[in-house]
Amino acid sequence: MLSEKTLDYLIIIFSALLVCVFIFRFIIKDNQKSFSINVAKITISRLDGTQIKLVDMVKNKDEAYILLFRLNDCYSCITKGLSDLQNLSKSGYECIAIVIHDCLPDVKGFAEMFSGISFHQLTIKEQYEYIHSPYFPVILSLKNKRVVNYRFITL
Amino acid sequence: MKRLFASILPFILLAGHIYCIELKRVETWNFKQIYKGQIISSFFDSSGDLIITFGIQPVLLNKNNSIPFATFGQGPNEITHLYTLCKYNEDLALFEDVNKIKVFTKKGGTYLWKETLWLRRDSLPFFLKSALFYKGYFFLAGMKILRFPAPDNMDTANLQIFEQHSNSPGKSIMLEVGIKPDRQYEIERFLLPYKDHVLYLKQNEMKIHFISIDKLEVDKTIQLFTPTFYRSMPKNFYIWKDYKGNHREYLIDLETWAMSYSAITNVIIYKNDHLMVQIRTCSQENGKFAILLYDLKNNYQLEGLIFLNDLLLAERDGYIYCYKGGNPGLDDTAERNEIIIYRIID
Repeated sequence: MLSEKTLDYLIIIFSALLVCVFIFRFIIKDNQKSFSINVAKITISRLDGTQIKLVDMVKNKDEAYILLFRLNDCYSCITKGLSDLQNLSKSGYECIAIVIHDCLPDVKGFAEMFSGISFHQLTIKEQYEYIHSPYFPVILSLKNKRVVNYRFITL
Repeated sequence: MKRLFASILPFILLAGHIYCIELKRVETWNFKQIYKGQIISSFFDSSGDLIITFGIQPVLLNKNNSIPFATFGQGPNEITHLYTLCKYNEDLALFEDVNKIKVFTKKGGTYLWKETLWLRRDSLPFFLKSALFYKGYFFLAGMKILRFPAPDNMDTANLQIFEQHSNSPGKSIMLEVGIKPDRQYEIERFLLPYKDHVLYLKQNEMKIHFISIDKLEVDKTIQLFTPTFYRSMPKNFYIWKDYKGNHREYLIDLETWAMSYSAITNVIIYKNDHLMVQIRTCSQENGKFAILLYDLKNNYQLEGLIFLNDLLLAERDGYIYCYKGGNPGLDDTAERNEIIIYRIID
């Protein structure tokens, strides 16, 4: 039979293992793979340079879709996302394309190639502060200002 | 016997004519700054400065200075990536993306951003390797995927032509239909202006395609005479391979593909009517490279052959400018930022 001391040691080792598993499963792994965005704090720019809070753009809409991408992301993926956004817009949803790029004229030039889409700019600094995403482009579905779903767009 | 002599006589004469050309070193430019990465393009700008692109970093060089411009970043005078660059009237056109051209103009001895041009583009990939602006058109060489009729084959174009200030989608020519996916998009392409034509060459083929400016079509294709040491590209190169995320293995393959056959390393027009083609010899006996001189007016005859160990960059006023030791990023001997200027002695 196991002595009481051995049993204590086994309980300690087992507990330590459980803590490690918890840290790996729910903290480290989630940080690497999950997406998060602080909608309330993000400020975006319209193409004329005026700024607006993202939350104000979606506050009167029950359901909204946001496409986030950088100009040097996979071009086929960007166009796929923009095409999805156009279709959602035709179905009556609020749709916003947000380009993560510091140079507004670049965003304007890019936006001129696509019609019927509302383009906005987000600075890289704001992206680092308020968005965590392992991959771009990503399309978000918001309901009552809360992100209810997201999907990374790949080929 | 007579027949045999008659058949080998042209080669004897040709060989005698070829070897009467040699190079004389006239000047050397040395720079303290070292730039990393392969030289992907080199040419003289409109005011006579040499523009060399090391990886994605363009550098302006002359006898006294080497000044990098369009450094990495998102500011107006910066770029996040560089596919290729070319002369654009008096300025330079830098392709930050395959449809996004940042025009840089010369001010105060360097190049600064002037404007951004956008070309129309569809959603399928374009592996852009080289560009030329000539007579109001942008010629973009590379591999443009046009469609995927089936999962294991595709239709591609080797060249896209866009008219300046036009919103048209561009014309795709030199089509290849039903080809299997491979990595031939890594192959370098060369574009040269020549009278009413643009000359198109691929790194792995000793062929000139003459593209008519009037018709925007290939007028004719000329197979160039190759010397006996020319080593063709092995057929198993550039086949599709899953590297399973091993980027190092992929880079090693790229180096092997570039160095293990007589790949064309640069092509320039010499003294208006000659084509100067530099190829790798894949031998250390005479020199790492050979420059082949073809007469464009005289039936594309091979007129001269010069062996050397330096990378051909550009030509001006009959002088040829070379990078000492080869291509940095590929050749271990190209360690220093040193440009050697040669003159051809006929």
